[in-house]
Amino acid sequence: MTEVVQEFIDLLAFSFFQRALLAGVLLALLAGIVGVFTSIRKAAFFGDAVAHSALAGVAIGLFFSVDPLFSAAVYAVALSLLLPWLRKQTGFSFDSLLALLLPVSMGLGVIAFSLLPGYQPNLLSFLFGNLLSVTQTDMFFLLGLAAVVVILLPLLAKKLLLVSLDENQARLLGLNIPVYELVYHFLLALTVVSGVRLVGVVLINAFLIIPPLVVSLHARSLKQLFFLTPVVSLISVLGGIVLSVGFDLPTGAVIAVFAGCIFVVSVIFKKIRDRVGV
Amino acid sequence: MATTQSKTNRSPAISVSQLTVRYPNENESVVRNVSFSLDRGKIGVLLGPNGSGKSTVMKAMLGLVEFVGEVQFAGQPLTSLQNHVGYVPQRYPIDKSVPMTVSEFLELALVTCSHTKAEKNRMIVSVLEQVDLSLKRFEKVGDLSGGQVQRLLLARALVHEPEVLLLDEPEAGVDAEGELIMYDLLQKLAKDQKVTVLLASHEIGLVRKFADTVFCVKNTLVCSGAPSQVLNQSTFKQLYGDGMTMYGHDHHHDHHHGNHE
Repeated sequence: MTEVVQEFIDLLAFSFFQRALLAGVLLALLAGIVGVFTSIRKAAFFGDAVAHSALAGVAIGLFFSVDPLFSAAVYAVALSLLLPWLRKQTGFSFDSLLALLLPVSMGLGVIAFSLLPGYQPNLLSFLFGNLLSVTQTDMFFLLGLAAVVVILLPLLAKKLLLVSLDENQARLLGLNIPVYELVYHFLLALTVVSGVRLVGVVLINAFLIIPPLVVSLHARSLKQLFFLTPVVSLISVLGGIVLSVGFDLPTGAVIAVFAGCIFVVSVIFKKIRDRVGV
Repeated sequence: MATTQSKTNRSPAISVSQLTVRYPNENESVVRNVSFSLDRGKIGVLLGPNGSGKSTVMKAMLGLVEFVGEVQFAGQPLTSLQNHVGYVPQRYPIDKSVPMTVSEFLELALVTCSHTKAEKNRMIVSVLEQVDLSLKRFEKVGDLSGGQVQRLLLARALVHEPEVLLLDEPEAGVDAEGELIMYDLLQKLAKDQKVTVLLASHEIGLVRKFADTVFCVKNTLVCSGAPSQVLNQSTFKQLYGDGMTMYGHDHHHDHHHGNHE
């Protein structure tokens, strides 16, 4: 274990690792906040679908030599806007439409990747993440998004929360539901895209869903849920990065498994606590 | 302004005219041509079996479903009276696995208010006292009993001090004692604070005891009037069919209510 820690300390001297670490911290905090909304809206599948669809955006970006993060962001936001529109036009449920859009987007992504000239090792790193691939641009993207969240959240959090929890009550109070839906979908799409380099499209949903589930098991108030979820998210990310470096394993996968372990321990802890009656 | 004011004073607290609701992709109207009115400080009940459209009438009145017709509260459409109408849904609308305290639940009902945090706290304390949930303020909503949750929903509807209260089957999931507490509270609100109360219900015994006016609904308005005039065998057959018999009973509340359908 001391070797793992030593290796981690040695790596801290490298700028790529500092970048990855900072990206991980920012992503953990962002996903911790957006994940609470995703969890209370029961929109886990939506996050998953947006993440998988981002692959098409990445491939299209690479095809046209545009920054893949930028094209993935545009694609994910466009998908977030398309969904409510399609729902209104067809009357189908979100789940059905997501099940339709997810394979189409994934297919589009794989086709676009196959059309790129030469061997494409990028595909795997976009699917499962790569600590080394976090760029300066990704950092600016994450910092920008964090700034947007810091500004928006105090203004909109409670109204966004009401829309997420009880749409009828929000409507009765005169809130403009589509505007709040749009804000949530934007934040979700951009958070998902910002994590694509580090953890990949397949595993990003672990960031959004596992931490709020862990906290929901023990929290007694919304306040606790909102404050503790980013903390659990941060522990998952930092723990995952340390372990992935120490054992030379894929970062995204280790973070997801580590977060899953925290969940299992949390369930066992809750069971014991309920039995003892504390 | 003076004209609006006088119109508001003269108008009934609730006025529904030719209300028709048809859901998309359905040929038949769920509710058709329902018209009724209710004066200030009165308790009215939309009575009918499950699927009769009474909840739909209520949702249409609140603008939660699209409808044809006219709905007015004290002579004004709902858009201008958002905080003067309180609504109690049939069930707690939020997944109980979401951790939330009683106080946080009520705070969410105040998100559009410009009051200070201290004022909002005062409003919450006051409304919890009104529904006898003061001691539960920092409890998790998921830990409350059915009756307490129903009173919490009532507290949310009352936090804006509404002039009109709409309640969709407030007895759902509540034990007999909880029902009685709820109905006593509603009677007090109507009598002391002149709040106009409209309930959707199928509990004939409670309706007989607490309602000033009954509106019998089976997709359309079958009949209306005072409970003593309306609640008879012929109305009951119209609502629930030939095979069923009406049984009225005094409420001792040592039992649980079953459906009368």
